[in-house]
Amino acid sequence: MIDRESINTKQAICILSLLIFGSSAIFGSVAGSAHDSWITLLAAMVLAAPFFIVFSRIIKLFPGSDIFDIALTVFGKIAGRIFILLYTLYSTYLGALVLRNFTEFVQVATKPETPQWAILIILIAAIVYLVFNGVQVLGKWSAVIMPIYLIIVTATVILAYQQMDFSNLFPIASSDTGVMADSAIKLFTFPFAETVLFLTITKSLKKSQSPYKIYMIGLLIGGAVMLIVFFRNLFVLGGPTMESELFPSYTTIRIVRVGTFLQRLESTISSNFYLGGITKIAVCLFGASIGTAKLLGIKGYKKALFPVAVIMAVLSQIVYKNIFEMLNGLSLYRWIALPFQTLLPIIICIGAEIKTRKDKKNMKPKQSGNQEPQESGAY
Amino acid sequence: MLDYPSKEAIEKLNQQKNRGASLTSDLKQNIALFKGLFKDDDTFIARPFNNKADPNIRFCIFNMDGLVKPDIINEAIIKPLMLTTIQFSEKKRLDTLSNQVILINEVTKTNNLQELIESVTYGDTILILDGEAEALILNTKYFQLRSVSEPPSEQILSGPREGFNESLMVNLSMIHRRVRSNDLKLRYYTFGRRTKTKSIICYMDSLVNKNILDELYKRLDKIDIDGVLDSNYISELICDNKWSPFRTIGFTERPDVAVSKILEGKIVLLTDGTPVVLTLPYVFAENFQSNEDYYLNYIYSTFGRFLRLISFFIAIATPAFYIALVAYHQEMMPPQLYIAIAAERLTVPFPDAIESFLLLIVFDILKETGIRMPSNLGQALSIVGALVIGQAAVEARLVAAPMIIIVAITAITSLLIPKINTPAIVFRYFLLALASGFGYFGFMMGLSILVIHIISIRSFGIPYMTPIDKLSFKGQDLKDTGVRAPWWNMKTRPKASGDSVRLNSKQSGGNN
Amino acid sequence: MKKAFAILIVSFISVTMTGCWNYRGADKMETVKGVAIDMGPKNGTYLLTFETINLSDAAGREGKVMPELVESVGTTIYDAIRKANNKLSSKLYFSQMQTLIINQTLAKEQGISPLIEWFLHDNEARELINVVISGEKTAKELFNMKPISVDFVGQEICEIIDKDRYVLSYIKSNLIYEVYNCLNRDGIALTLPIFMIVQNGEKPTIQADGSAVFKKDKMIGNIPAEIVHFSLFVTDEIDKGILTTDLNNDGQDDVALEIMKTKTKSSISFDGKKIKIKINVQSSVMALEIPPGTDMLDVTSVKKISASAQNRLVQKMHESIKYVQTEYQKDVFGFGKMIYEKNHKLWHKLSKDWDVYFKNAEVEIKSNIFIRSSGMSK
Repeated sequence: MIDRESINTKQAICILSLLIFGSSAIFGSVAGSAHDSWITLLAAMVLAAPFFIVFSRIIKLFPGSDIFDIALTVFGKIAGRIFILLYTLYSTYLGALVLRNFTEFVQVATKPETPQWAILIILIAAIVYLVFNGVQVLGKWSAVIMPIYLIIVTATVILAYQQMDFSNLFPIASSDTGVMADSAIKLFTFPFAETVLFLTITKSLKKSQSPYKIYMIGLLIGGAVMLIVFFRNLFVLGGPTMESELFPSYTTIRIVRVGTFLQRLESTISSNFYLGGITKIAVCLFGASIGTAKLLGIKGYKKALFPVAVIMAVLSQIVYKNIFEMLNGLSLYRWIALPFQTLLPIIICIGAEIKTRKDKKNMKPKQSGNQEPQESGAY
Repeated sequence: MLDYPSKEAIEKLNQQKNRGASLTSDLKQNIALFKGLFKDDDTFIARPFNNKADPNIRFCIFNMDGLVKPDIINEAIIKPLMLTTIQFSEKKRLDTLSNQVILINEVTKTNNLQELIESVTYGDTILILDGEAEALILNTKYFQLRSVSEPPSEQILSGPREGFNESLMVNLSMIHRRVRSNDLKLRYYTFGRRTKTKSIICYMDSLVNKNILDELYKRLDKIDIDGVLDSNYISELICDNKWSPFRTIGFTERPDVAVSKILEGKIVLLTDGTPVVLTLPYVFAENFQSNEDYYLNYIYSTFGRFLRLISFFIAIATPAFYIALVAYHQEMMPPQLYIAIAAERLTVPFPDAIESFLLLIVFDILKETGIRMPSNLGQALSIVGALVIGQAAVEARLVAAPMIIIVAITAITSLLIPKINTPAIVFRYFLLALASGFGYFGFMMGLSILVIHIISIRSFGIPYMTPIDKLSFKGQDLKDTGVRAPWWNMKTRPKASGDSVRLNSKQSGGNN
Repeated sequence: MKKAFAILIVSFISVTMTGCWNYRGADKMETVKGVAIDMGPKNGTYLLTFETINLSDAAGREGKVMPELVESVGTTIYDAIRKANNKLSSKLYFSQMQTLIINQTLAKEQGISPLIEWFLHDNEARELINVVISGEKTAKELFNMKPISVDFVGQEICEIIDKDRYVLSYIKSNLIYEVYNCLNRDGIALTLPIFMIVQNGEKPTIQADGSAVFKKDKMIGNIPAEIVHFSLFVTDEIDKGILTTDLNNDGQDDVALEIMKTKTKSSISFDGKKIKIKINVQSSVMALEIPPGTDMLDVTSVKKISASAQNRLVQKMHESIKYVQTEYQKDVFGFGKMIYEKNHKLWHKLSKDWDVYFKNAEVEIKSNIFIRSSGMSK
């Protein structure tokens, strides 16, 4: 029959990469060590790699199901439900955060007088429409958006060449090691380890697709794009400006000019941000609505979609008072997010390993009782 | 759809009308029956006559005035029946007649009253023999048809210039002549409870996707409508996404286009009474394809395709982008341009968004008028349209000159891509509204919604954006979308018709 | 049906009644091309002069635009900007602003950091604003001049600076974000171009003339244009320009070489007490003015010309470095930055007394000029 739910590997990689650099590319640097942010980025990538292997292992053990079902299978009904609740809350919180980043950016950079909730309504409308249509549409959307995104980034780098001052790179590693380690952890939690939320939509992956490939290639592409963006900003802006600007990528594009005609291109970078941000928030919304649906015993996530979206929107407005809280909030956020991104997946992975070994020993067919994408019926 | 009685009720009604009505062996009763059925219908002709040699053999023929060719009736029916000596075998007298006497190419024997009514109203002649309870249907159709000419809506520079006309048979002949194979399957279907319109489904048996075919039959069976006058009635009843402005079923008036779709593995639906045929499934990329692409050089065709693709975006996005630029993001314009536009704005009473909206509406009115009005007023209208609205409005400081240019560009590009005029209109106003309210951000959100919409719709199960959404960079998948690869490069059939048999034919022309 | 209705009404309302806060019709804005900052009448106030675009003649066939000056006084920069609305019917719009002119007394006494704060924060004002110092008594009198080639002084200043890179290389300019970088970065002192009013035949007009030197963000003096030109050689910021030299040593320059390409490589070292700097300039030029009668096909005469030009260049560069070392002791060349980039620990040690180190630095300059061609004639 017609396959409406699966996504192929390329689409999955695109979703993952967009998750990683979708909202971070607009920030373009990390507070505290702007100058050496590229080193901290590399450190964060190295730090993230083992966790990505953990994430992939979880899917590999239970192909065709998502983290909620795995939690239920591994830990039973009660503990499993607690897991689901935790991850649903995390998804909602993260979605609200990114939404807030988004509306702050639109308001600060382009339209100071428009209140954020007006921007929010339009944004939420587009995202809800995307999520409503299912995971396959999300995969296709990412597949269409990815080339556009990459082309725009490449174009900005090429155009910025004239304004680049390569001496801005030096001195290398002049910031405090303590500050750099701090920034590396910040980068690790936002955005790399957030890819744990990708596990909520892995129901659409078939057994034949290798999650390792998806995660590793996604890590490489996502990290590479962020690295390019960081370098571009560093070369054009220089340390002090990069440190003080709220959105260094945006400022960089404002400066880029080729001759007299090709200038003032900031709309390109802002469109990049819109596209990437939509994808990221869509994944969070998926996670939150699927989790809510499972908790409440609703079949299919569409019924839970609208209420969760509204909750996320409202939460995004109340979670911070002003933009400074939002920027400082990153320091607090990482400690909250770390257990979700590191501890819980490890627990689930260990539990999954034990369970599958047990099942293998008992020769139960349960191991192969993984739900096929079509039978899910719920979407 | 209006409220009308259900299928069962109509059947009952018909049966009530014809209650007790069936053919008997008595000629006089049969004649009375038919005259009763067609009471108040003065075009119904009943012509009784006898055989000269044996006056006891009595016949009667019925036909409708204007639908038949009198010559055929005279020469092929009345003359032989009247003049030849007929030797009847004991039973099967009608068979003797059809085998030995009547000089008609297509003869059917039936006693089904409904079938007799349908055929006599289509131009056939009914022959009743005294003493038989069955009748013969003789093919004597002859009606005035529009001659075969190039359809005005799909004209090309060079290539075949035949177009379908309103007769199902003529259209069928054009297709059959081009595909001389028994693999081409044609199935009759009837729609419309009152009009009983005939249509034909064509496909190549070895190329078509059977799943889609089954799905099509399922949907056609569900159709329940009074009458079908044009294939669009059918297309709206069976399409996948009822609310989407995008077409998911293609249409064409040219036989060469129809046949090329058949050869791709698509299904073609011809309907009697209209020259427009439907092709399904239909994907987004086909909006930009024109049959002319294959008759001209591939570089020229590729260029044409690019132009059409770009025109689509220009037609949708230009007014919105202009408004976003001028009203919200003036910093994006170079200084000279900015000064020019700002100067124009000073003189105009309306804010930009309202002005662009008004001008777009005015232009759409002009376009509609151009279609509806008699052609001898065309000259006057173009003068009125161009001079009055354009020139005088600018001079009277009612609208700003840049806006006229923007609207003109939008209009011209939207005429380039007639197949997506509906989505173009819908999304143009949608994007304009969003851009007026929210600037570039609104514009981007609107574009995102457009992209999500296109990605999510399907045509009979085939995703609308095949093959772009699979992100496959294989040349064979993309060779017919944005570009038109040269003939020697097209070795496989496009996947767009749904993963049917992919035969690599080494000879050229294995595709399209 | 009802759902569809509700959605329609909601979207209609949300689009028409919300979201249009930032809608700016282009006719409702006073577009600012340049801003001049002077001291206000009372102590602690600023007098801002805005050069705006007057569009009243612009519509119609001729399309003439004229500059219009608006003045306003306020206690801070932003205060003055808002107070300008007392005089105007529309809001000031800064996205097209190109130049910021600062009164030199203000720069000397107050420093420019508080003056550029607002322009850095506001999202309308772009990062590409050129910051210049006015060489006259006030900054606003520059706006009273009629520019030669374009309509607005703000635009003219900006274009003079932009074109200078490819023509003369006499101006060392800094866009506002570069100014910010300079002020917050170690190892380089800020310089800004100075613009003065000069007579151009009958009419007065503006002209760039040298640079202003800053200590932190306060101006301490100015450097003549010629010195600036050769200091640009030291920092490798020359794109095009000319070199003149005197071949026959008769006091009159008779050779002019147009620079096609030039690259300066510098290396710096610290021997515990003094800073030693080695500079190597490689240039490739075209000889466009030579003493009549010189035979360019003769290898020796070409060598003589290039040797003379090299000497002249080295001598001038030494002069310019010496001038800055003795007059201001401020490192405008960025030698400190070079140390910081190579070895930031060393920089931390030296940064406190960098002015002294800079003053006593020893510089060794080598120049190599390669004459590629001599234009159309021999």
